[in-house]
Amino acid sequence: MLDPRELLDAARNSLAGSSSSPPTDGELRRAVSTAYYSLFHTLLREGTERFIGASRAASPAYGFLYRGYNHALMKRVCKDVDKDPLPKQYGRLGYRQFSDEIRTCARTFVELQQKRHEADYDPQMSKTLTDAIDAIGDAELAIRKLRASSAAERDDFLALLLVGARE
Amino acid sequence: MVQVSEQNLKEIGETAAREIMGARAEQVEVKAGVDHTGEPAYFFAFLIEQEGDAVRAALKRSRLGRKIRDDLLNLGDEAYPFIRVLGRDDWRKRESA
Repeated sequence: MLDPRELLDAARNSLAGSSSSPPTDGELRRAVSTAYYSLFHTLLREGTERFIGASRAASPAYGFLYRGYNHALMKRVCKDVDKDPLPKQYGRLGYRQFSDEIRTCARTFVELQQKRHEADYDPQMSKTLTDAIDAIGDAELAIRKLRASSAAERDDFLALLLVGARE
Repeated sequence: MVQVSEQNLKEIGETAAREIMGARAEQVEVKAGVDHTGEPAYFFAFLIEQEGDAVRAALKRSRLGRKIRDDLLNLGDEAYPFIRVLGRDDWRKRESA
């Protein structure tokens, strides 16, 4: 079973390099990319465990729902969720804006997805050690904020990430 | 969609950095473009020495990004601001890259 915490550890380990040399460009890129995936898989796991249940992790339904999340829709929802006031298609929520916890998580997701794309596909975008350390710190912050949010609000967010909002 | 002028973008960035980071950004650079899905975006780079604690620094960057986004949305500009904060050494490396 994929454990998103291991991905965050892997991102940190990829910066350790050897004792005599700083991390290579490839290691910096890997750390940024892996930091994004640690947040991505945390959201998928939280959502799937909430809507299917951790006790059914071996069931086909768990796998189907987990794979139902997709990067593009999650990005679109996160951009909306970080707005005050929320766009009108979110009116059913009954509140004007999400909490600081969810907004921070959502904003970080959008930032990290962009940085992951640059790290994985843009050979001309150089990544510094600061970029890599910051990406890991961002992912860690977003995961903490998600877990610190209220259960009801987290449910709304995780459901929206899966299916989006319709007017 | 409204597009904020380059000068105004720099001012928004400088004001947000002062308010959120508690420090004057030595330099602010903004490039308009598109993100990896082709949507309008601004790429802000700040020359600021960050504090050591990674999560606290991440929280400040997040608040900086949110403040800039809120300011842009208030002006009717939907382009998404991406934030990069660099110290002096990385800023120099970036300029020479």
